Amino acid sequence: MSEDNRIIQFLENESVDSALLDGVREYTEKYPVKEELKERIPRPDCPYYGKEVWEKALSAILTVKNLLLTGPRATGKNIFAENLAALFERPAWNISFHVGADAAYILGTDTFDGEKVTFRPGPLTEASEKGGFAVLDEVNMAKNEALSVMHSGLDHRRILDIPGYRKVDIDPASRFIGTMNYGYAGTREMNEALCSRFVVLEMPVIAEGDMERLLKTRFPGLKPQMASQFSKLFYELNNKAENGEISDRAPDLRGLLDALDMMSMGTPSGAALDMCITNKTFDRYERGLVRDVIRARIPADLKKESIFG
Amino acid sequence: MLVRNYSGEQRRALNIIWNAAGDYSLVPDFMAFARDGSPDFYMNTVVGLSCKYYDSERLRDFFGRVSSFVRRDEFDDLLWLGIESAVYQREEGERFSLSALRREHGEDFFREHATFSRQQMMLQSMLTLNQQEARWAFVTGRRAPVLTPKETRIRDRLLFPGTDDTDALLERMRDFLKEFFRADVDNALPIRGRRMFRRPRVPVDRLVVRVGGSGDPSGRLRRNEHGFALDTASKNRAEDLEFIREHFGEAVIKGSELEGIRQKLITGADSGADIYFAGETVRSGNRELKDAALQGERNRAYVRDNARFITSARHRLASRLEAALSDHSFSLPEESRGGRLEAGKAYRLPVFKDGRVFLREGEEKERDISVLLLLDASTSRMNTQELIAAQSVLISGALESCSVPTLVAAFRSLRGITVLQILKDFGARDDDGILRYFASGWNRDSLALRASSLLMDRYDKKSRGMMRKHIIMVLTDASPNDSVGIPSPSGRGRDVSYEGEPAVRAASDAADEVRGSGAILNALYYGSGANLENLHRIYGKNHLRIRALSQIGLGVAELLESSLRELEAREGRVYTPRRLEDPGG
Ligand SMILES: Nc1ncnc2c1ncn2[C@@H]1O[C@H](COP(=O)(O)OP(=O)(O)OP(=O)(O)O)[C@@H](O)[C@H]1O
Ligand SMILES: [Mg+2]
Repeated sequence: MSEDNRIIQFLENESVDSALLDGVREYTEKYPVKEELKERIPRPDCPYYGKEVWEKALSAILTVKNLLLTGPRATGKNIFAENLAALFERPAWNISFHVGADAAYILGTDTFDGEKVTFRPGPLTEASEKGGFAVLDEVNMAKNEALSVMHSGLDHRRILDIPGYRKVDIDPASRFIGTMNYGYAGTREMNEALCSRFVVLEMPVIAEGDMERLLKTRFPGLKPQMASQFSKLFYELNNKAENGEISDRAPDLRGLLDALDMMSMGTPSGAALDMCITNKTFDRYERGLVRDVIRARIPADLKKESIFG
Repeated sequence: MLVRNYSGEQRRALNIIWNAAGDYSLVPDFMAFARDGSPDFYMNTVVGLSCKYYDSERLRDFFGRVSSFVRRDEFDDLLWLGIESAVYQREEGERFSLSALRREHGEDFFREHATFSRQQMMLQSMLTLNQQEARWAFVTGRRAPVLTPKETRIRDRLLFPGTDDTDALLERMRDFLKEFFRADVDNALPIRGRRMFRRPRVPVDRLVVRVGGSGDPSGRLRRNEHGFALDTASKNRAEDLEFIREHFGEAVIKGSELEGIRQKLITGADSGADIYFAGETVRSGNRELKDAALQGERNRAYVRDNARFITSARHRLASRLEAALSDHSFSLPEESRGGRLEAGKAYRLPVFKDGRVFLREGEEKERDISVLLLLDASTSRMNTQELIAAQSVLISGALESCSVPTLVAAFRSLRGITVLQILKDFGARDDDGILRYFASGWNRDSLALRASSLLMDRYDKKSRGMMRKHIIMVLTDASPNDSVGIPSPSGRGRDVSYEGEPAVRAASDAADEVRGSGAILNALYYGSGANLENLHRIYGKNHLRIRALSQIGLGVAELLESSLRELEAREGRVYTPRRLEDPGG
């Protein structure tokens, strides 16, 4: 394990089960990463906060399972996948399925380089051959043809069968991490056959204490009192969505972080929150409800100086 | 949940409360609205916070007891100033914008205050107003109003500290009422049901509901806490009518007459409903009617407790009406030997030497107008039953003492049948029927309104065969709803629920119909600000918003005066008194 694996230090501080962390160390010793692939190891800009999620995920990965991260928008699925790859010191490939990735794209295609036809491997093939982590983003949106080629790779066979090319044995260090949103329109139920090939980890909404830590990490200048107000605001919006009074568009952590970004650049609180939170809801009445929640916490005319110290 | 039946503004108010309380399962007893009907942001936050910091069930019980006092509105307002002080201190550090919101609220108070009309000022309790002014002056850094020594003590005592737990808070409120108003909460009877903050509207319907079938298009079930809590799954209209007959006695309009009326009324938006005209007595002995009887006793007690006030208000109203009515009376003509020549009989003069061909003004006065007080008797009036009964006693008493024939009728809809119940006939001087007023069921305002002008025609005919001009005063909270929906115009497709916008539209169409028939339609509104828009849509500017019995006299006088002026303006066009049959043969 490399000296500067910050994530494992972080997890030690979080007092994540030491047996699991020992497992991680063993793994990294057993599967050292090649120099030329070090580039591909993600360097997440903040740790994922949530001890339980960490522990569940570590035991799944250590027992060679594919992990499906499910949950509402902006619960940190992608940042967690990055964190996992960083912790295990794995090169990572990201495959976005919602853009309609087909089998040729994920596995690879023949290309003509001017002299001869060669096979250029797709991200899934690369991750499988090179002991990487493949992040299958929004895997529930995958087309059927893309799904069927993944089946053998995701179950005990751990083989990718690339038509007209060859069979790829999946490297023992490789793992597949799927992400999947639920709870808003446009999501598809995941195909049963695919689903059974993953262990499913439900990503909870970030816990209150973690939330304040996240804000501090992301915005070191944020006044503690304000961090607590914004954090509470987030949970109040969340509570309202959970009770079906508003849709789940507004309580989106990403929106709140974006708003804070804008405020740190000098946008007044009201305008920033409007753009990043309120206006994400398209229903006028709902927007009124969202605005009421904000109003009950954050005055609209707060300037940068009163938010950041 | 029942909350789906809240209107938009109410739902917004609720959301503010829930958010502050952090609890979405709450069914709050109080909601606050500004004068324009929009939610009062700060006070709703305060209501929510009160549930966050104190045991809301025990608060509910306490305010339930407070509501048995005549001065309950005043007490509510004062106690909430106290609670405001307490929860503000507790929450201030927790909620960044709270102090700004509080100041804003204070500023709003003074802004509203400045635009109060003289009349509105008179309708407010001065005591409450002064206390509010003192509080908000303090909050906004204004100069304190001049208070009497007692008021100063009240002001100081209302600065509840933030350190109380529920026990201490209740103790404090109890002592407050005892010390300053000699009101003993412990010996007060808790009133069942919930109340709203100053502008009552019951969020919980305690109704007889038609379940399933076409009767309940939304398929919702409601709690039956009170009223006719009977099994409601009826199979057919005949059974429903039998149910109504069992409780309200024989119909007073039956047979072909009823058929004629039904053909006129059971049409359009009301074609899925039905109508029943009942007399004043409600059958006794039925378990479900015990509550109604109990309410009758409460009404009586309330009228008795306020007898001095009601009597003097009635006299004042009557004397103002007398003056306004002078143009609307004619004495019953007597045959006489001098006066106006009666053309039809003039031939007698030469032939029979009969001098009695002249008509002369008689002693007994006859008005050319009659009034209907139409009382919404649906469950949403639950918390104001005594007040409604007392108002009706006061108004009908004043009108009758001015010789204006006045009919009092209550309406409610049960199992899709709108029951118009005659509580007082023309000329009747006793209030027994009115005092039996009780709230239960739904209210299909459109059908009740349309039925009301037919009812008036009929009663006019019955009494001396005189057609009069009609003034119909509806005591309403302007929120029509019924368990039977509105059939889709095509006859196909699903019924539309009779609530919200479609119901208001139906009621406002019905109101147009009533006005089209020549009657003047007025509303006495006692309800939350949330329904003000409905009120305007149905009754235009012909309405009066009441908050307390004390306003009635003045307000009703003005309302009736303007109705009379409106009638005079139309005089000769639509209505002049006319005989239906010539009694002379
Ligand atoms: N538990 C958490 N720890 C750290 N950051 C978090 C956590 N939850 C959410 N975030 C932050 O929220 C933002 C969104 O995270 P991310 O993009 O990973 O979410 P996601 O679940 O993949 O969203 P989507 O479902 O929209 O794809 C990021 O800035 C991330 O840092
Ligand atoms: Mg994502």
